[in-house]
Amino acid sequence: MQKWFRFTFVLVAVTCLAAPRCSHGEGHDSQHSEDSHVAHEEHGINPSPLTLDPDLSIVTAIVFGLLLVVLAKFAWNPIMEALERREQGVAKQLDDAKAIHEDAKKFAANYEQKLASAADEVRSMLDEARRDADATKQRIVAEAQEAATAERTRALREIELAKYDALHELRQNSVDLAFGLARNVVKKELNSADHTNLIQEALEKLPSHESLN
Amino acid sequence: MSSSALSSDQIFGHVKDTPYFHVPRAFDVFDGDGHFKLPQPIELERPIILLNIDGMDEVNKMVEKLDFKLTKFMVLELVVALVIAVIFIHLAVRMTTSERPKGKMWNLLESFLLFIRDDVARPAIGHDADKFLPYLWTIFFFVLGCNLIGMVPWMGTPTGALAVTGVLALATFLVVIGSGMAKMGPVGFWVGQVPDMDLPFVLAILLKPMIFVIEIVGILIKHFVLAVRLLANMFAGHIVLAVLVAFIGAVGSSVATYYHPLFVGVSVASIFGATALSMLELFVAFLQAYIFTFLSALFIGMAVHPH
Repeated sequence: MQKWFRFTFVLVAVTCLAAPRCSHGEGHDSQHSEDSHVAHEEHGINPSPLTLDPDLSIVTAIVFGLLLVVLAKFAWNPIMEALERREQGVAKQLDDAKAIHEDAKKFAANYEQKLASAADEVRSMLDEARRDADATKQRIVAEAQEAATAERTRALREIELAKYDALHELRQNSVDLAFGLARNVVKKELNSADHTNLIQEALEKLPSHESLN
Repeated sequence: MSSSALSSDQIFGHVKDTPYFHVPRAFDVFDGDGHFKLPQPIELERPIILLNIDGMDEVNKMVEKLDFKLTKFMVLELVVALVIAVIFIHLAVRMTTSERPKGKMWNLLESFLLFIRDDVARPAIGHDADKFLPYLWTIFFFVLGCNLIGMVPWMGTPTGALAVTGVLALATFLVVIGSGMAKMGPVGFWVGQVPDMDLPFVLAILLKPMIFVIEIVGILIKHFVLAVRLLANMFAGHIVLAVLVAFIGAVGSSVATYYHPLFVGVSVASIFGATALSMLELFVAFLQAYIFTFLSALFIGMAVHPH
């Protein structure tokens, strides 16, 4: 807006400054206008817009005709060909781009499909791995249980053997004791009360059935 | 004095064709009258043709003498033609050597060319349009150039003369007739001017010649109006501009000093008015070039695809 004010100011200033110059030329102006008036009278200037100057018509026809010929040969035809060529080029590029786009769409669809199948594959692999892991787990547990059972069986067997050995040893001790007792009995005259005491004593040395169990 | 600034000689002298360029007197280093007189290569003792038909004074006054006088509009037309030729031959060279449009000027010129092709020629003429493009492009840019050169200070508007617009309209007329006859045959084109109306034989004998005459007169009038429309628009616009600026001279000669408020006021108002109208004139220059080209295309279209 400020620019416009400045422009207006300059315009007015120039107008005012130009005024004296015009004033200086005024004498010429009046002279000139009279001259031109005379000249116009002489040339017969007709203010009607519908006057026709045949000279100008001829020159216009020549200038326009030449311009048409020159431009048609050196400008319009090359320009039309260039425009046509560019249009065809653009159309071809659009077609190519469309084809590439279609290819890309197909590729993308294919890729999506592959991605989906890969996901399925991954899922099935995971399932399989899980199944394998389950199977391995069960196998390990079963093996562990089997090993534990075997270990227990072996321990029981060892206990049985130890028990058997103990009993055998006990039986041996009992026999030895009985033999010792019998020897003592034989060495000494025994009355019935001693008999009873001896038997009783021997029986007490024998381990009871409950304690064995 | 006020009458001299606003006299018809003064006003029309600035708009009509003259054998000199009118410049501010300060610029005239020769005789100081502000007229750069054009050198006259051919000086004739008497005109070759001077129309003098008895009882037709108006026509005699309208048609000026044929005396091979070099005038301002001839020079300006030549300048316009040269500028157009240089611009478009340069454009053609660039377009044939480079693939893509570069720069504002190239794009601007191409948008003009494509507008004429796609929005004027092809809709108006149809599938034969490209054959007529060189003519339509030339006429558009020639008319536009002639209109625009009138906006340059101290130049003139060749399209403000009937001799110019008349020849351009005549060129369109010849293209219309020529293309019509080439398409429909020399006889077929003229016969085709009368529409087929299924008239009874007797009535047809009476009516068809009349319709034929009306159609032919119609074609002539259409082309005459084509010339007058452009002429009137350019002529009237520049007359209005000349009158607006002449107010300054008229007031200046009636005041004692040029610092008089009336003179300053009128000067400023005239300059602003003339500036605003010049902008309108710029628009009209483009509009009339478009209309001339569009109507030429329409007439060609009607000739090659009758009824």
